[in-house]
Amino acid sequence: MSDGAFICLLMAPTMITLLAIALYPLLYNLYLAFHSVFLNEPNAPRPFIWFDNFVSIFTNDLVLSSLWKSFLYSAIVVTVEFFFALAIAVLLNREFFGKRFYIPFIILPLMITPVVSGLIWKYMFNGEFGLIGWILQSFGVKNHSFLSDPVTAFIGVVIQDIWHWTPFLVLLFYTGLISLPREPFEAAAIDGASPWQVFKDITVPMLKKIFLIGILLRTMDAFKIFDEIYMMTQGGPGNATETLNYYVYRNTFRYFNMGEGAALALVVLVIIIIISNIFIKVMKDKTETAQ
Amino acid sequence: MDKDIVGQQRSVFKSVMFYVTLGGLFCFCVFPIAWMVSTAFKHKDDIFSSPPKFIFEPTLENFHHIFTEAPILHYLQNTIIISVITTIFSILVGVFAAYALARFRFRGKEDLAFYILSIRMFPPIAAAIPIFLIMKNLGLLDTRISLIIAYTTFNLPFVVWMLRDFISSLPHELEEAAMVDGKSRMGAFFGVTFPLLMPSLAAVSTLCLIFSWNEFLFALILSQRDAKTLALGLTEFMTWREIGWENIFATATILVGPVVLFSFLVQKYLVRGLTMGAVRQ
Repeated sequence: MSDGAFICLLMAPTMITLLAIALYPLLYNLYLAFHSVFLNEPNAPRPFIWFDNFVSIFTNDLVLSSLWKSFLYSAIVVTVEFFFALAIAVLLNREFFGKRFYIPFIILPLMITPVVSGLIWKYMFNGEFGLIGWILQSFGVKNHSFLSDPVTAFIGVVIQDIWHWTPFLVLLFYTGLISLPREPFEAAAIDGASPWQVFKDITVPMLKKIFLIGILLRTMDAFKIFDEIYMMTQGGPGNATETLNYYVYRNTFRYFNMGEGAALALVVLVIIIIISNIFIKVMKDKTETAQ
Repeated sequence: MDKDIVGQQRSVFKSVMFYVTLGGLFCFCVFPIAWMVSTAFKHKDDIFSSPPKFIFEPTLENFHHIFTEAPILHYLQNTIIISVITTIFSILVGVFAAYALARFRFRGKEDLAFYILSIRMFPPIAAAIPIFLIMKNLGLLDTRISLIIAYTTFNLPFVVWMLRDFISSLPHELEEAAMVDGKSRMGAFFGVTFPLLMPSLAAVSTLCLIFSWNEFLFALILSQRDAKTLALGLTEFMTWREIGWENIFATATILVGPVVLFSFLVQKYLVRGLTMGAVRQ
């Protein structure tokens, strides 16, 4: 059997499967976005309506506000988690008593199922018997239902995200830190550089690629967030925590406007594709320099 | 002398602050989980007490309740079956494609590999809407097979991409030596390289299991009762009247336990798995 035929044989099962379960739904989504399809009227005709769905979603205030919420949310959590994780990773980058035993526990929040993480924090933020309220009460702050106020609900979900995902960046940055070569640091020590100078001029530049990977991955995930919002606030109160991804779900499966939902999903997809292309570019760069 | 003592005091202080920070961090990370697990073992009255109860009499009644009076066992079975089947299928199908992408050279290979990777990164909602309609038309809503198919959309690309990475890092020479000895190409691969691939296969399989186990959106959209997964089963105790926290967290403990265990097992590969091979440990 020729090489070419052999390759085709090897790739065939995967390609067929992906064509059927990934590409086909995507094309179907494209089709839906340009037609008027309502699930609650299954026998109605499905006229081709050009860009009507797109027009209606981009003139919809709720859509625009949810888009803004997604950007705001991603920007806040990624920034906070970045600096928080960097500080922790630097802190961990030394020998200390019980280190082997300690690190798995720091990673623990990352291993918790996202829905469960949402539930834990929903429970802790509860107005009557939540732990957070109890802690704040001992500081003299009156307890109130965090997730019932638009501003504090948003903050609550952000805090949950920070707890859940910072360990990912900690793990990433720590991996980067321990794989840095010794020589530049030894040279800097001989030259008498201060710890801050070493950090600023040696550590940070060498970690640039890892920083970029971490930021891109976290941004993509923050944009896609769903499970936690479903559990904690269902997008509420009102629309306070309704990010774009969640809005697509709620709108599509409540009003059954499949055409519009598909169009919205495409918007989310395009945004993710843009970010993931940057990520892939960074990866390609890395593999090229490695070779 | 004075300078020495001040220096010593400063470094003792620094040491203490360091360990205090570590301790605080530890509490911040672990406490919410411990709080959840403790709630699972609390009697219902202990949960609603204010101030919160830290010392209480543990009980197994919640676990008993969720398995006997609620269909949690059924949901657990669904989750296990779905996760295992999608993982097995993805591995069986994906390993061949990974081998082809790693060991052969052909036009468009890199592009193809990256297309497969980008499928992995798609937002689930983009696939969920069409897949929902397709499954509805096929009459496959609320069946385990529909979830297996849905999960394979992200497990298969993941398997192909990760295994390609792992196979690439195994030296060509081993297979070439075996082929010189007269083995066929596939024979060389399965006889020589495959055994070396075992740890990677185990790691990738475990990661697929974890992703499938944790999945929520597809389960929410595609299943209702028969194929309901454990993750979705958490909503079982959320009625319009009240939220049964004690039962939710008992279920959550069952859900999270294996995942944490699996995550510990693949700790070595965690960074590599979560960054799609971009960063290696």
